[in-house]
Amino acid sequence: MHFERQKLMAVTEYVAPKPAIPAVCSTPRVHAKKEENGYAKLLHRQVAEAFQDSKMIAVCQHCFTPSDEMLMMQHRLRKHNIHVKFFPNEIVRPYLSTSKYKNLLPLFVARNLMIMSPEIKVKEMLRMLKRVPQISLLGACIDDTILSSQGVVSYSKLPSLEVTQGQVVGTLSLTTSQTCALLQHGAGHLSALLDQYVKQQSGGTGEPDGQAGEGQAEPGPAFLAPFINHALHIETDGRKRVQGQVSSEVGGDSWEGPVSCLNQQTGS
Amino acid sequence: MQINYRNMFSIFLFNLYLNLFRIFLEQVNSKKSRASNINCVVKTDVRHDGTEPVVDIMFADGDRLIMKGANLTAREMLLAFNSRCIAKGLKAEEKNK
Repeated sequence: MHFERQKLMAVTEYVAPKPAIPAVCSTPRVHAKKEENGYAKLLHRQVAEAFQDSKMIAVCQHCFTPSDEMLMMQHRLRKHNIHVKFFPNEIVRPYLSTSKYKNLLPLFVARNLMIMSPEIKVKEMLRMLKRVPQISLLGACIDDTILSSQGVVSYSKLPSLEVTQGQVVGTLSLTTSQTCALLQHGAGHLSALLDQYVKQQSGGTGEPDGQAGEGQAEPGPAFLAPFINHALHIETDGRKRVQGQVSSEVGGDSWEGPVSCLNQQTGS
Repeated sequence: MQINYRNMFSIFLFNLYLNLFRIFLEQVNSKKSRASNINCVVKTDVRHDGTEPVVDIMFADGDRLIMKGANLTAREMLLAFNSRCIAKGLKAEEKNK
């Protein structure tokens, strides 16, 4: 190419105008995402698994304990299928803030250890913790209920669920059976007395006839006197007065069973 | 911060529910501090009934330091505690001389 022409081409070359805002500002800066440490990832997973598997989670303040004591305690707890776990707070806190255990967050300050178990064994745990005074129980989440340390102690004193259910069933059935017995008792007593009376009457019929005729009108044996009086009252005065008398006789319970019995008996 | 327990008799902490107490306890109960005097008794009591948080420290020479932690920070408590410990230590050394 000719030198002159080359010069002209260089001068007339299109130069794009610079944009008012530099390109660096217009495009959003992409932050390089910090890749999580592999160990942290593992711990995160372990925390999630531990919280999902366990029904009983107790949080304790962990102070310096000689390692042999610690090992012994862990071993004893493992016999009851209770596990002692150490997780750093940086790992536990992010998991807790998103899970349903959000309210446990205030407990995770300073050095902690967690006692976890898939079964609820509060008594065993408390017994083991008593031997190690350096570890103080702060709070626990048992069966999705958050308890304070005093709450845990009182929880351990509760009898098991089956026992309490049995007690409830017992008390409920006791009242019904009592009312049933009370209702039946009067009628049964009366029928027994009348049976006895009939027996005595039939025994008395063997004696002269004139006396037997009087025997029906007579009050009969002394223990039957009140009932026979009632029967007479029913015939003469009607029902209300008899009811009042009967209830005063039999321990204040007002029932109509014996009255109807009386009615039937006297009617027949 | 390391605390020397040489001149100490017992420490009682009440109401561990406060976070500052737990940080304090962690410092007080560290391995180095405990090793300086094994006979020192550290007792803690976790309560949840709104009682005032108190640290009760008995020194070997009969002095008693009570810190009520309602309006203190863990750092303040530790500093106050440690300054007293150092003063006691100096006194003891002077006596020995």
